[in-house]
Amino acid sequence: MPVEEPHRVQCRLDELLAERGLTVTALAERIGVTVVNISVLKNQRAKAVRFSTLTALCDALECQPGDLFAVVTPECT
Amino acid sequence: MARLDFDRWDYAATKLLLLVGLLGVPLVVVGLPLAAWAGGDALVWPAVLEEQARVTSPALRDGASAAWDGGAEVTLADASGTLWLLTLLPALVVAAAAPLVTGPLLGLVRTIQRGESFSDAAVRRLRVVGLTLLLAPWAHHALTGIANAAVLEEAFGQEFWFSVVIPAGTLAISALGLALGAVAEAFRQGARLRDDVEGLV
Repeated sequence: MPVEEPHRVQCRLDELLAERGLTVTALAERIGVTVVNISVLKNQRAKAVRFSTLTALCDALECQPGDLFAVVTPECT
Repeated sequence: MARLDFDRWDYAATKLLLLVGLLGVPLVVVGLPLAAWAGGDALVWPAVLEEQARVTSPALRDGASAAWDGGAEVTLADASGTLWLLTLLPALVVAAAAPLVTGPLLGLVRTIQRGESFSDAAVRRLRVVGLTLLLAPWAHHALTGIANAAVLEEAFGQEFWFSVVIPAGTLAISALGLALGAVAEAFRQGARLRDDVEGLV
């Protein structure tokens, strides 16, 4: 896929938060990221994630990056 | 040392100059000849003649010389409508190019003032200005050559070949057009970077 095309990365933060009974605010406080940024990620509006944010997210949610993100097939978008 | 800023007065002056160019250039290059035509004035054309002649004058001191560079002003009291139109064509190119340059530049200044320099709109504007600067001078010279031949034919009553003088400034303007194309590409990359940063978590 040429990099000019829109990405097809889906963030599963919503599901992970629900499974762990966490709120966006609680997660934001825990990892030191603004609620707005967590919402951007949760609502699939993020275009890039810093490795430091990803590390903090994975630590807080006790997961791996692969659990947090998935590349969906074009038909699914 | 005082900080060198592009403040609101600089923006205002830039916008004013561009606005003068936007409205003034078409008015001067097309409006004035049209008014002369409508008023029944003679057609005055700064012609380019191929023949070169050495200028000799008793006023020239020893060791000094003067050469005729081929420029001459041709005045036709009874120019036809077709000839008037032909001589207006190069001016029409300038009149069309002026808003294509000043209009997008005005928009660009506004977006820069708003702090939205790296946007798709800025890229489009820079490309339009660059392309206009690249092509318009050549179209102008081509049409000037055609009009020049027609005026000389009418004035001298003999056939003249299409001839055109391309000043070095033309190459500079075209080079500026190409440079603006490169700047537009930098703005495109900047716009993409900005887009990425806005979605960075």
